[in-house]
Amino acid sequence: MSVRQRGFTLVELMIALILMTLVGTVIFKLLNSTQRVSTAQTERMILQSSIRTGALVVPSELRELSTSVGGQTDLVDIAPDSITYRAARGVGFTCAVTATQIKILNTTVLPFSALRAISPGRDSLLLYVERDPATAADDAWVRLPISSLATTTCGTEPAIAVNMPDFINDLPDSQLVSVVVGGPVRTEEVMRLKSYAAGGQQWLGAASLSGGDAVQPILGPITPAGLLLEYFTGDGTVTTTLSAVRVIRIRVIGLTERAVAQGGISGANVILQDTLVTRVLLRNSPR
Amino acid sequence: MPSMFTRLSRTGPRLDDERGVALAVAIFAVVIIGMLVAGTFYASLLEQRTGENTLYAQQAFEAAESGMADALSNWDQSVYGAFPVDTPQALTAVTAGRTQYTPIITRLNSTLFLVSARGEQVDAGGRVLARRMLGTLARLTPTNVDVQAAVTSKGNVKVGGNATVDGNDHNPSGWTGCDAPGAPKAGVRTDGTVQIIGGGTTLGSPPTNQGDATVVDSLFTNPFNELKAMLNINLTSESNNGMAPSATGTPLRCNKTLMLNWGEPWNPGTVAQCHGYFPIIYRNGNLKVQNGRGQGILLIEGDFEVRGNFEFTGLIIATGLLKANGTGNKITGGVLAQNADLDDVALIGNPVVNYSKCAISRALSASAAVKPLTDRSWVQLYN
Repeated sequence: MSVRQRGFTLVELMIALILMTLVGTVIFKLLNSTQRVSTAQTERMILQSSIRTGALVVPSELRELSTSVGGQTDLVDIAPDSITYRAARGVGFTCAVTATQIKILNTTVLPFSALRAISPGRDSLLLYVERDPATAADDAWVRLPISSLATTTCGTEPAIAVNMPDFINDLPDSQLVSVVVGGPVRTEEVMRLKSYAAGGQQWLGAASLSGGDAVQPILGPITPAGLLLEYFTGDGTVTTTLSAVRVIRIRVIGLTERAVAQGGISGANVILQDTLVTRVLLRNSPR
Repeated sequence: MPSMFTRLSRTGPRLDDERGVALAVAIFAVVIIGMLVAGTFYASLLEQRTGENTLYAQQAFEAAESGMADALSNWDQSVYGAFPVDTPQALTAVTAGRTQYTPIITRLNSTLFLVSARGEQVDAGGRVLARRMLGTLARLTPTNVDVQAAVTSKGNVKVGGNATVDGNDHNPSGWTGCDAPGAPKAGVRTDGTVQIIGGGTTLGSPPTNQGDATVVDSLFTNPFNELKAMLNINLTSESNNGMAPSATGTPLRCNKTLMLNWGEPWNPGTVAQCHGYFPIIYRNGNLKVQNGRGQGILLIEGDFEVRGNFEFTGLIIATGLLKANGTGNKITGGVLAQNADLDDVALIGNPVVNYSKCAISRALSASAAVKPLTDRSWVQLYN
C-alpha cells in the first residue's frame, strides 16, 4: 500500500507564485495610487488653506490704514513685494487727559477694544484732537510715544493710564484744551509684510519693526514672485505716492510643499501652484 | 472498497485545507485604502467647513458694515443726543435671511459718537455661525450760521408799534443745561438802515448795527441750503394756525408725524416728550403763522409773516421779508431775513425778538448731521 505524498508540485508552486505576484502588483498599484491621490489632495488643501489665510490676514491688516494728506499717512514704504505700514491695534476713549498722561476708559460696557494689550515701546498712541467743536475741518490726530502703562480709574470707572513725555508742543495749537475728553485714541505698531526666503523656499512673512521682531511666516511656500502688491488711487490709477493710495491689490501665488501627483495614476509628480487675488479698500483714507 | 462518498470527500473543499493569503491580503488592502479614503474625506470635510466659515465671516463683516451705514443714514439726534455718555445703546436688530445686524450707538461727549454694529451670520436654527464688530467714529457737524444779532437782514428795517428786538443773550425760560448768557449781540444787524417808529425798541450791543457791509447773500443762502437738505417738515400751506406739540403711543412719544407739531419750547410745558424735538420746518413760498408754538429751525423760501400769538424758539431764516404784526408774538433765538426783494423788514404790533445763543445752539445741534470723522473713522472692534 502506497503512502500518499503531501505537498505541491513545481507547476502548482509556479502558478501560485505567478498569481500572487499578479495580485500583489495590482494591490500595490491600487494602494500606491490611492496614497498618491490622497497626498495630492491633502497638499492641495494645505495650499488652498494657506492662500485663504492670506486672503483673510493681509486685508485685515491693511483695511484700517489711513493715507491722509496731512503728513500722518499710515503707509511708511511701499514696494511690489513688501509694504511697511502702521497697523491699527486698538481703539479706546479718553476719560482724562494731562500733558503727560492719558487715561483710557476700560469699563465692561465700553472697554479698550484691541487685538492685544498695549505694549509700550512697540506701540504708539494716536490722540484725536478736536480743537474747534463747531467745525470738523480742523480735527487732527497726533501720534505720541508710550512710555509706560498703569491700571487706574476715572472716578469710579476702571481705566488704563498711558504715560508719555509732555506732548503739549505736539498739539496743533499747543493747547491741552483742544483735546476733548471722551475723544478716541488708537494704538498702532509699525509692521512690514514681505516676501522672504527661508529653508530654500519663499514665504510671505510679517515682522513688527517697532517691536524689533524677526520675520514670522504668514503663509507659504510661495513662488519667487509669489507676492505682488499693487497700489491704486481712488480712480484706479497705479501710484507710488503714499498719500495717494486708496486701494491695494494683493496677488499671492502659493505652492505645495512637495511634488504631488497630477493627471491621474500615471501622471508625473509636480509642484502645484494656486493664485489668489484680492483688493483692499483702505477704509480710513479720505474719499 | 473505497466508496464514492470517500472519494468525493477527499476532492471536495475542506476548511483545514484553505491555506491561501488572498483573503487576508485583500482585507488588508481594503482597510488601508479605506483609511486613506476616510482620512482624505475627513480632511476635505474640514477644508469645506473652513471655507464655509470664511464665507460666514465675510457675510458677518458685510452685515456689520451695513449696520453702521444704516445707523448713520437714519440718525435721530433728538434721541441719540440724549443717550447717557459712554453707555452703548443697541438699536433694533435688522434681519435679512440668515444675516443680521444690530446697530449700537455710544455717545462719547456732546459732539462725538461711536456708531458700531454687530453683524452676524446664523444658521436655520438661529445659532450664530460668525460674528463681526465694526465701528465708525462720528461727530456732529452743526451747520455754521453766523448769527450776530437778534434780527439780521439785508435792506432797511422798521421797528414800530411796541416791538422789542433785543440782542442781549437770553436763555429760554425754564430751559436747563444752558450756559450762562454770553456777550450781547446787536439788536438789528443790516447792510441798510434801521428805522425806529413809535414805541419800537432795539436793545443789545449795539442796539442797531446799520450799514454792515459783511451782511451778504451767502450769510443767508449757505446755511439755508445746507439746512434745507435735512428738512423734517415740508409745509404745504401758506397759512398755518395752531402749531402745538403732541405725543402718542404707549409709552408716550413725541408724535413727529404731525405737520403742525413743531416741538415743545416751553419747560415744563404740556408735552415733555417733545422737549428734544427740534424739527427743520421748510416752506417753499410765503408763510403766515399765528396761534401756536414751536422750536427748531424755520426755513421760508419767501416772505415770513407772524400774525399773532405765535411763539418760536430757535432759528428762523427767510429768503424774503420778515413781517410781524398782531400781539403775543415772541421769537427767542435769531432771525435772518435775506429780504431778497429789498422791501422793508417791518416789526410792528408788540413782537419780542430775543437773541438766544442757547436756543440757536440747541436747534442747530439737534438738527446737526452726524458724519464720520474726516480721518481714521473706521475701526475694527474686538469685543
